[in-house]
Amino acid sequence: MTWLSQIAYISKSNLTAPPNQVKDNVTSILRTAQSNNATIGVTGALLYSGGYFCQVLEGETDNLEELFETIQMDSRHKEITVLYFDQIDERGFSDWSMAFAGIEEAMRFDIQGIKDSTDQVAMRDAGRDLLTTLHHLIQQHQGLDRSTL
Amino acid sequence: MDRLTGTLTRMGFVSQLDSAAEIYGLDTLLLVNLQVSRFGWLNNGLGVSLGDKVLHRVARRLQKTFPGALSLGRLHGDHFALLFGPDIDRDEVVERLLDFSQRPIALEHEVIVLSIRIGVADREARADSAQTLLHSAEVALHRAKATAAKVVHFDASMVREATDIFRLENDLRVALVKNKNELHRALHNEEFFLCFQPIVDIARRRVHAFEALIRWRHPRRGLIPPATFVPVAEQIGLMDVLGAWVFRMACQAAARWPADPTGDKPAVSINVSPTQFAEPRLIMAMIQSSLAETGLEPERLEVELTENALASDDLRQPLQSIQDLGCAVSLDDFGTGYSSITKLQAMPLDYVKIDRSFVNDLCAPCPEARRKARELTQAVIALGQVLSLVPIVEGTETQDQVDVVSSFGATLFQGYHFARPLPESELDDYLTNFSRCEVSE
Repeated sequence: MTWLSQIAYISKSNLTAPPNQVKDNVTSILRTAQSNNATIGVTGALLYSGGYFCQVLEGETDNLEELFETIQMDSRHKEITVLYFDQIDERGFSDWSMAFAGIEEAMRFDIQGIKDSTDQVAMRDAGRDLLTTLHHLIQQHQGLDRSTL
Repeated sequence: MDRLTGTLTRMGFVSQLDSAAEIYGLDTLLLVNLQVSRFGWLNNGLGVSLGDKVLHRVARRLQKTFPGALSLGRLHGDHFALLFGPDIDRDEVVERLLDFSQRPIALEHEVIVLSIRIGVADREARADSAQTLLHSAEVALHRAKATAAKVVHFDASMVREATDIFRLENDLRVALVKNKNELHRALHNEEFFLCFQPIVDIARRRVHAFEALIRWRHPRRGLIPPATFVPVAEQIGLMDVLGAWVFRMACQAAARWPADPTGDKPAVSINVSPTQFAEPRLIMAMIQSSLAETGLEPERLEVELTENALASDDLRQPLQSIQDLGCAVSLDDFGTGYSSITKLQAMPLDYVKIDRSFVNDLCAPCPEARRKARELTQAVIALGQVLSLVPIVEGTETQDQVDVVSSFGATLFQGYHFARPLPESELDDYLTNFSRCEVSE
């Protein structure tokens, strides 16, 4: 039997381009992710907030571990903090190979608090907070123009 | 090929290193050794199977991070080596290595963040063979581990120091074998001997105790400080033999000491290393047999241990057993280790030795340094008192320091102001003279 898992992480972007180019770069990352994820049955969501990638990925555990490893080897980000890596019963983003929750100038999470935390419960709470935020933002985006992403 | 990681084995790596040296020239190569910190802990905590997967991931990351490397090998266990050819940016290699190898690994719902140590050797090693270059990188890695540094670049002084330590270790083994009979039978011998430094009680005007201190008179190199050879003895597992000898010799000596003019006999304070406490039953057996052999009264024996020894929670019971025998337990270097206050409170202790670092600045010329030192010393003594621990102030070198600290309530002092460590033959005179001087003041 193959288990479903979900992983949430926050990482600092290495993209140093001006804001409009950052948008192009993030869109390019998103398109590649959507294409690759579809082939291995991974779904999830991405938010670019205050120079940080905030991402939730879900899929079969083996595929997810491999994908996460590939993401680790990407030099476009650094200082990766995993909020949780759990088994799940059902997907939270089953309609999206990679939903986009938008680009925000200011970081909406207490990133320093998250990085400094050694408390797994606090990290998990931060992860749940991210999950809720992503769902909320994606709903907002749906009302806008999803086809442009 | 290493089956676990798909990288070269040590033999394969050395062979490629030889070839690369021939092709590119040894002084153009960059060799980077790295080891995963605390990998054994990870293996124990999460299982060998997951540990193997982690090593596989590390190897893959190294391959992907450095596709241009000439060779990648797993030399043993959690120890990898990367070989680079000419025109490679050493600093960039190290930076990328630190970055990518320490990014999280997600496996089986565990998130593992590794920490690595790196030893680097290049032309500065002035290696004359591939083996020497590899050895240089290993020496640098060993230094990184020993000094808790992330990265160490090899330089020639490291080999000299490594050789010195090796010789010292070897000489120590030889000395212990040569004097084996004397050490096991607690007899005087040609190389090891004890000195005794008094701990005085200025309120009762008497010598409270003498601390036994081991000395090693090397046949060629002369006196070697205990700070140099005791850690080596601990590392190579010889402290049990040496420690037991110190214990029995010190108890024998103390049993001979006369009473001072007040009619009391001083105690003997003996250091026991954390490695000896690894076998609490042996310590208890050593204490009981030493007391039985020498007839020393248990209340005249104080066992000294350092704060680092308290790291183990298992020490509470052995220390309680020592107290139950009627002996005292003394905590050395108080205030410099990592003990938590709750742990100190839970431990059966009688004395705390306030480290000399607190005393050094008590009479410093700078008023701010002086004020800080006084407040800190007063606080440390007060903390000891709250925990019902009697303070012994170490490293006192002047009467001014004694005056200041005694105003904080301390009465027990040790340091050059009272006496340096003395040979046993001088203790009788010291006992007599100390009481006479103090009484005549």
